[in-house]
Amino acid sequence: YHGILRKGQNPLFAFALDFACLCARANGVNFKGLTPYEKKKYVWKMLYIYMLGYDVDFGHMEAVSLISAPKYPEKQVGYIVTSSLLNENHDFLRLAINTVRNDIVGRNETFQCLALTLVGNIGGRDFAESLAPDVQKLLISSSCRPLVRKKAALCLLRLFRKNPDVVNVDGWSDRMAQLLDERDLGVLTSSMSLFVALVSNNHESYWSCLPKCVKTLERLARNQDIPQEYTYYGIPSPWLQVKTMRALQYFPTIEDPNTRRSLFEVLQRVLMGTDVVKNVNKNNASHAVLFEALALFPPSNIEGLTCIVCKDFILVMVVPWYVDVILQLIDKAGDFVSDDIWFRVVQFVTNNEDLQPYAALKAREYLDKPAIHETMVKVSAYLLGEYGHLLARRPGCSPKEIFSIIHEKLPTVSTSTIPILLSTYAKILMHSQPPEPELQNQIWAIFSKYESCIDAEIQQRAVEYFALSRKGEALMDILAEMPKFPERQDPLWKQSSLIKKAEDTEADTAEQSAIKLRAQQQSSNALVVTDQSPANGTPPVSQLSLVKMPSMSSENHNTAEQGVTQANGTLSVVDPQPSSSSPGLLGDLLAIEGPPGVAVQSEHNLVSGSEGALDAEDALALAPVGEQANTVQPIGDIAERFNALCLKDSGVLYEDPYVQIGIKAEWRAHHGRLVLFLGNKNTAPLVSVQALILPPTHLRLELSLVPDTIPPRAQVQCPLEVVNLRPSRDVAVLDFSYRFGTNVVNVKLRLPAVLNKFLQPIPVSAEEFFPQWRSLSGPPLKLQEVVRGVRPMSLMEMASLFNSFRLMVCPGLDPNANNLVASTTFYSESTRAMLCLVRVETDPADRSQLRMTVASGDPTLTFELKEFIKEQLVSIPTALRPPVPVPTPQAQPTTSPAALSSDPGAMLAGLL
Amino acid sequence: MIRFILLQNRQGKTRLAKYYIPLEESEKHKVEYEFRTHKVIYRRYAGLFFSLCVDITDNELAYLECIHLFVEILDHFFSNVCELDLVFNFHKVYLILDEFILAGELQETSKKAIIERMGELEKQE
Repeated sequence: YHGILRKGQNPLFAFALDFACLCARANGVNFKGLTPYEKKKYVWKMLYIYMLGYDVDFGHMEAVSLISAPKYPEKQVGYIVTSSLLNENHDFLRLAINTVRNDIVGRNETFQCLALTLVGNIGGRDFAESLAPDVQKLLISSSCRPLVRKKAALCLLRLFRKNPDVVNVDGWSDRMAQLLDERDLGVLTSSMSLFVALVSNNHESYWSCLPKCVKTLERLARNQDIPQEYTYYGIPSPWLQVKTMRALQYFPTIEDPNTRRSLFEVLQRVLMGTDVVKNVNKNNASHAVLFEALALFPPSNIEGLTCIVCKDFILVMVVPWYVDVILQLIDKAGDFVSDDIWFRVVQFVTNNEDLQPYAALKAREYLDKPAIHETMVKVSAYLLGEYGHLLARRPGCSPKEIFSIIHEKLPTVSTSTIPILLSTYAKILMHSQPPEPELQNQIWAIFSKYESCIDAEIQQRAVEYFALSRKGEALMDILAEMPKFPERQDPLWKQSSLIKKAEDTEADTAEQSAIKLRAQQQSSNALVVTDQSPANGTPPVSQLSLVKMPSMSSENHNTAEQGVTQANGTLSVVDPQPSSSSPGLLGDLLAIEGPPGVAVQSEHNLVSGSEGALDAEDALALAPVGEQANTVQPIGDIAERFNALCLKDSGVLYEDPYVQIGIKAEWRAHHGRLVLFLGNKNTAPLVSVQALILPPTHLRLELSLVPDTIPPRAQVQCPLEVVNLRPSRDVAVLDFSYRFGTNVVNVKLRLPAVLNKFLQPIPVSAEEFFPQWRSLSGPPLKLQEVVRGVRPMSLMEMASLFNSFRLMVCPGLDPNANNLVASTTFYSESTRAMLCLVRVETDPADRSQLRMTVASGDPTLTFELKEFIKEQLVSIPTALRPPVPVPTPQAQPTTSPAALSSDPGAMLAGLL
Repeated sequence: MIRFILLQNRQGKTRLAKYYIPLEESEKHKVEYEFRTHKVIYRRYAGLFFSLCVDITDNELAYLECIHLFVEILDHFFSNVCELDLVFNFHKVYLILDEFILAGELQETSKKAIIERMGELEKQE
């Protein structure tokens, strides 16, 4: 319809003309003078045109007036068109309140239905106040047909959302309990929706309904008294099951042991009975129920459940059963299993010693399967690394055998899994002291291979584990087993952040508190924050209630306060902020893998050989700072953090003893949205906070207002909007300064809004590739260059490097196996979406050079992309880490030439 | 809860739109796969896209199947539904939808109950 609008053919105009003629024919009278048929036709047409996307700002009155028509056909049209055309904010609607009320209290069932539907769909506060008692009466009336009552239930739900006071809690809880005894599943489905809303607002008053919900679930799970028409692909109303489980999630515990047992049986039935079948619909429906059942379990409820089970003496059976179920879930539906689910398994196993050999054995069994999901590789590798040694006497479970079966999977996994595998290797090595020389050499060879990996996380692990494992038995102390997780630590931050977002924007009062409650129950993490905040400084609660505190510095991290004993210093700084989304969560979990507590210092020393040099460079990366020297030293390697952020979308950009700057980014076509999380780590406020963006010419950047002061231990979020105007490799710089006590700190940080963020991998087939490739015949659209000094890497590593930069490698397009072809789409305002094609020809005899051809429809893009890829391929001799995109002088305009020439460090920084 | 339901063909022409929350006209035209802080669940049937906008915390799979159930109901009612059925009988589609979803929540999940109800309503006209 946008197309029609643009062409300027406005059917609205034709329609209005048509209507005028119609009226004229009826002797110049208005709408009222039309025949019923004409009225209906007119109003329906209006709705149709409105539906097509036109603003229909006339005729509302006519539609509303039809509501009071005496006959059904006109009334029906009036009701339906009004409820689609108008919303609760239209004044016209008030005109109809009386008629609507009369229809609701009247004797005509059909009219009741129409009126209830209108109120349910668009009723506002006015309606809530004047109609709620009548609607309630209909809902509990025994003389009404189910048809009316189910509409009344949802209508009341609407009114309750508009004004929670319309439902008097004291009087209503008993009635609600009665409603949940309903046999008609239509009424029950609607009533359950109403109940979820009521209970989310105030579960305390509805305890009496809890057993009814469990009973409903039992009825559904056992398929008792469920008419055929309410089963969906053989599953008794999956929607009602989901709704009922939702309602139960609002109750923190179940006190009555019988109810608990019944619920437990139902959940067990759901978990055990869910299988993957061929029919998509059945699959979806059964998994919808399964996921809801899982949400009812962990982690807060699982404690409750295991407790119950303890009393019933079936602990031994049940706990492994939980692990079984989750592993099965990962195996069968890996794509649906988010990281937090497997984190939970790990957490659960870590905290239950009895379970560890069992879990390790299970993991080992899954690895024997020919094709397993990547998540299964992760969880198996993790479990075998930690507890594989407990299986040592079993056949097929020697360190060597475990290593080789895990290592078999390595070529099939993505970059995010490799670090976990490396940790597992290190742990295997640690557990087999003294190690078999053969195994040790194999593992060392892998570590040294990954020492030059482009992925900062992998590289770092490889370097560190290599250094550590050379320490022989000292390794035992450092890589000791994972300490137990504190209970109720739940990495669900991502969800809670969404919930927070929802809270910020939602207006519905009832809804809001419901969402908040869910937030509290689902993610205890969000609450941990408030626990951590010190009692002194009294920061505004609103700010603290759901935001995540910045992590403590590495030392603090090791205290039990965070709950998660963290070590492996350098690893932790890669992504110490637990508040980031899935990659962050992963980082979080991985960061904990290291040695507990005291090991940190020693480890820092161990790797200091390489780190010393890096530290010096870090300082340099910061060098172009104004006159006053920073006395505050950053924690961690700024350049490395930047590089890591070039590849992922969340993590820490900068940290020093006072402040931590985290970043989270979302990219869509040529737009980007970054959020800077400025966290004050201290008990005193940070003042004179300033954040300026020094944008390169190709980016349009808008940073929202940064507050002058950050309260103690608080975190502020500053959204930053990015628009990519044209292709360029220049980098934006954040000039950040603050004062803490007498310290004035000023740092300039490169922002990871780099060229590859505006790429979107796209697979191309041979039919698409070759014509395009040929049509871009030569310079300046197609550029070729022989690149020398390439970091030695296998073709596979190069492919994964390309993929990590969002260049999609298309295997099979080039007949020569030594060549690599990749494609991607680049987005900017000037180029729009533009296809880019890359071909790399390597020489197996000499890996240090290659020939690269880059083609796109824009000469600048071709050039910039070629240079960008080159930067990623060429090794910079001094660096143990991946090369850095070059910030141009204009990106750091405050660097005075004098400073550059006088300070060799600054010069180097300028070059890097 | 369901915030809105949209039915569009491949050219982007809307064949059914129902909003359970008050929206500005301008907002209605720029709905994408994520709308405000809700998520949009969609499924394609031949040339028609059925989209449901639901809360972030809602169960996606359940709503995905809810779309399918709606399609089954339409299919049953129109016996082998096609886009033209929806164009010429769009008022019927609104009636069906009102029996299926109310106040942004599922009202009835029985195909039979809805089809029978439609029969009742047709008799009254």
